[in-house]
Amino acid sequence: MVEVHLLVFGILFIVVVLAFPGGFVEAWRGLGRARRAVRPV
Amino acid sequence: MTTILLQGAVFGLLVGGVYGLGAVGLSLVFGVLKMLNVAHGELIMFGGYATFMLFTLWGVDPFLSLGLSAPALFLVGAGLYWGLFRRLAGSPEHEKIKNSILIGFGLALVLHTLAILAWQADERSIAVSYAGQILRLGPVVVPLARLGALVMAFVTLGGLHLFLNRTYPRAGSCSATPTARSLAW
Repeated sequence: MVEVHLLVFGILFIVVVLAFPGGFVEAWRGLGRARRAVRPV
Repeated sequence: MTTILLQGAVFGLLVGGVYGLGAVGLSLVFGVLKMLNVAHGELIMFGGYATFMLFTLWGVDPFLSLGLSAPALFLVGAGLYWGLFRRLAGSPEHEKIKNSILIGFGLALVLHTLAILAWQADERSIAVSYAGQILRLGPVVVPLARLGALVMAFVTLGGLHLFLNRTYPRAGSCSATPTARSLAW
C-alpha cells in the first residue's frame, strides 16, 4: 500500500511539473496576463 | 597492512570502473541535452534487473545478456524522452535544467516503486559458474567476474570515446546550440 502511494505521488509530481513548467507562480501570473488581455483595466 | 591497502585499491578500481560508466551516461545526457536526469540510477537498476531476469528465466550469461538488456533500456530511455523530456526541449536552459530535475525526481519515485512492486526490496544476485574464480597477483586477489565487468566498462568507454571523436555526430554532441545538435543528429 505504501508503494502504491509513492507511485501515485510520483505520477502526480510529473503531471504537475509538465502542466506548469514555470511553476505555480508563473502559471498564476500567466492567468493574470490572460485576464488583462481579455478585459484591459 | 600494505596488502590490505592494495586489496582495497583493487576492489575500489573494480567497482569504480562500473560506477564511472554510469556517471559517463549521466554526463553525456546533460552535456548534449542540457537536461539532468536524476532517474539515471533507477534506469541502471532496471538494466541490472533485466540481466537478473534473463539469467533467472533462461540462464543467459550476464555478459551476453548485455546484448539484449542494453537495447531494451535504450528503448525505455527513448520512450521516456519522447513521453516526458521532449516537452522541455524548446525551453530556456535554466528552465530546462530545473524542470528536468523535477521530472527526474518524480520518475525516480515511479521507477523505484515499480521495481519494489515487481521484485520486492530484497537483495538479488546471480550465481554464475565462474563467480568464485579469482586471479592471484602476488598477495592481491582479483575476482574474475568483477574484472570482466571492468573490462566491459573500459571497452564501452573506449567505444564511446571513438564514437564521439571520430564520427560525424561528434559535431552534434559538441555543438553549443540545440538546433545545431538536432541538425547533426
